[in-house]
Amino acid sequence: MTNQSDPDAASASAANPLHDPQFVEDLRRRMVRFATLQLSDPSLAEDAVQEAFIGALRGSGSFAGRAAYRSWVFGILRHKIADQLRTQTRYAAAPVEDAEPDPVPEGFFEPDGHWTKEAAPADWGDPHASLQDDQFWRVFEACLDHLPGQQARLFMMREFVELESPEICRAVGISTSNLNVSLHRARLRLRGCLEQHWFDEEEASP
Amino acid sequence: MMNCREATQKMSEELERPLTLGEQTSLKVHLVVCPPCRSFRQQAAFLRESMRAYARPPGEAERDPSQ
Repeated sequence: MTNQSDPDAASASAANPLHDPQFVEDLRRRMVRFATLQLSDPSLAEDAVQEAFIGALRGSGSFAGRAAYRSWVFGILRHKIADQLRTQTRYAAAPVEDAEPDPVPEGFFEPDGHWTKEAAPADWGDPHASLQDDQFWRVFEACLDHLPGQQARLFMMREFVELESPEICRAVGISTSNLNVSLHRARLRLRGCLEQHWFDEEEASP
Repeated sequence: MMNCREATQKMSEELERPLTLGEQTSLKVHLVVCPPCRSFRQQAAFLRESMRAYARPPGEAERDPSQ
């Protein structure tokens, strides 16, 4: 696997991840996609990403590898997006008519409201070791990418940008109940995806 | 009796607001008899933890990058 990080190869470029153009370009593309989804404005998003990279340059001597660099630059972007969204809040007009929430996920529950056999969550044991695994993060990103757009946007606003529910409702112009429906569906989908593509396979090959 | 769809709604909302005493009680009763929903609750919390860890390398205290 070309992406598999070999510890030795990783440490060779660890001193400065910016020396790998492929890594930087992949990271930039992911950040632009994330910022565009959050801000709904491609040029604001490009600006925010640009500023995040510039901000990261100031501290780029202190990274213990790519994961740390990614975290650092995404962290700066997260702050910029939070500021921008809170500014939008200030000027937002009265909430528009709620859009139709994303479609109900199929196949999670029986008509009587109980889990279907396929969707019932398994026991993941202690999943925290996965947080140290680069491959886990690739699966995590892929699962986020598979969420419907509005669900992904709201879920990341809540859990990544860390806005509070009322801030999100103001910035996006949706009701609390609409937000709660979307977050519920996003959580169902995301945990299902992680179980299918990560935690299940881990169990299969101990 | 609360079913699994309703229980997962409450467990998702629990991450957004404090549940009422009535909601907490119904949820508790459901969780006693429903292992998959107990897993869901842990996993929803883990999703939050993971998403926040994404911008914070494990073991590092939060620092404010804008400083």
